[in-house]
Amino acid sequence: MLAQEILLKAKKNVFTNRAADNLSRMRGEGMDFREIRPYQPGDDVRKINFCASSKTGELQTNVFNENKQLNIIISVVLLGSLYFGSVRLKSTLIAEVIAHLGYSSLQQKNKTKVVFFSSDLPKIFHLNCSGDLLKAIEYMLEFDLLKSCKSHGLNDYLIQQKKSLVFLLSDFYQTFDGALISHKNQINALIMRDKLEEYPEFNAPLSLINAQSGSSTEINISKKLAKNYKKILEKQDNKLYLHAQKHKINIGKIYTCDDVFFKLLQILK
Amino acid sequence: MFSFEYPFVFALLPFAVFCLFFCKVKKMAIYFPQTLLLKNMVTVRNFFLKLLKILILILTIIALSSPIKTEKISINNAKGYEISIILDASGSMKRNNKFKIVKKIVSDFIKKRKTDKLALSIFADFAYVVVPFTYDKNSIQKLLKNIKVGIAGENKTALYEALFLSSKLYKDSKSKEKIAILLTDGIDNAKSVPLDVAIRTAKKYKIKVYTIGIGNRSNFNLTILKKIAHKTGGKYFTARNAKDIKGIYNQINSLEKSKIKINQYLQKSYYFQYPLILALLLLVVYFWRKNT
Repeated sequence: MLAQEILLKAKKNVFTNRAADNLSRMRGEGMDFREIRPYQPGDDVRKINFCASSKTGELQTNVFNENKQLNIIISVVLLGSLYFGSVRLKSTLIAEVIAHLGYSSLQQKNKTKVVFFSSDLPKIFHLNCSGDLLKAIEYMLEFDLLKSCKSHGLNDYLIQQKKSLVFLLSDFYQTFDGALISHKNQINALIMRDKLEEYPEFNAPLSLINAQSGSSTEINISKKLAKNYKKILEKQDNKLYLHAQKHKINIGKIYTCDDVFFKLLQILK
Repeated sequence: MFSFEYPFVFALLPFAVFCLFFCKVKKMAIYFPQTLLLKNMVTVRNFFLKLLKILILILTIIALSSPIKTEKISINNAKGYEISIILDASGSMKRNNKFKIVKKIVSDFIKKRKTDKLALSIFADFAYVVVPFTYDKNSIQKLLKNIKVGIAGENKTALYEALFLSSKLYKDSKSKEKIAILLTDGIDNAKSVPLDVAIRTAKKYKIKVYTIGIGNRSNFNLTILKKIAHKTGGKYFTARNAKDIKGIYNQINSLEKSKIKINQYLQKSYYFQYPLILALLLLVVYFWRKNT
């Protein structure tokens, strides 16, 4: 039910805000008519416009714009750390992002797939219709994050693929090296975070359980500690931004309290 | 000798340390992404807090076991007085620094009476007992130091009331020789207790009252002081200066001594407050560090 709600919301957002399809200015095979010009040797004889040829007395041929189809890979790194959220869970936020990206990609008839990386083998969903997208969202929502302590295979998988537009969804607490994959692909890294995890001023003694290892730590997070923690996280994030800048990776942060559609527009424009 | 009044309380120590590590309060638990980073940040702080906790526990247990210093005071068949010192602390004693001189002489006197039981009373507008009979000379000395003119008012002299009140101190006394030393430089004008009643009470408890008139004869009522001394079997003295008062005290020294029943007693000094204060201070530090 939640998966359907997410998909419907994404459909509504994408449909009402769609500006144009993804058109190419390159001449080539396609349905988009560009111009009529005199026939040149080597042109496809099937494209000869006989009406125009009879009018001018010279062979004329139709020229079309190339139909451009993008390879889109929505990659999700599934880890226990996604099982957190004050407004909504980060995993739910990722499901919404998948819905928005997937649906808008389907609308533009791009070759799209969603790939989930966890401690097991990568799980791939090829998106041919919104039903496939729904399955991918359901998989995301039903995945037992607490059992996923490690994620691997992301770099290997992306290197093996054709040149693609890659959306990388994670909270980026693990070390990330995008040097190799960014060389071949256009990478968009989307950091999924919650405001409370970046500034955890709980002001109460709590037992914090590590979602990945299951170990618990008793900490009373005071204002000072929360501030210091935020500073360290900011340093780590700055390193990540510098790395992304160096390798021409488009990077942005989406919080659980953000409107996914408008945040995506801001990051991907 | 230094010891603990309740040493069995130390049995709590292993139990308390065990509880510190194993009887933890169940706290609210949540999943958090970066616990390792947080844990590394608070390692030193947590160690410090744990150390504070252990120190607080140890100090509290030490305080509970009540550390004491016991001093054995032996009076082996000693013959001693039971002396009640009654001092005039009215406003007139301020003149010529009389009160300070008297206090110094009384203090010297107390030092000399190692085996005697002493009591101290003062009077001005009213009379009150500063210390009832005790062997604890240190306490008397300390209290004597703090007595000032005017502590019981400055306008009147409740001489008879003071005699009456200090006589009452001998109520449970079993001593054969009871002595009261009354120092004054004035005349009773409080009239809270009649003279006859005061003398009768002193006589009832067989107290020898040594009256000392300080200063000029015109200041005090010679007849009354003589009367008190005479009726109770004591003596009357006049002291115009410090030398005279010293002489009078020396005379009292030569009086017959009576047997004191108690031969030995333990003087206990309690030290529980020191570990307790330290534990409280550490507790404040603990809560401060915990919440910052």
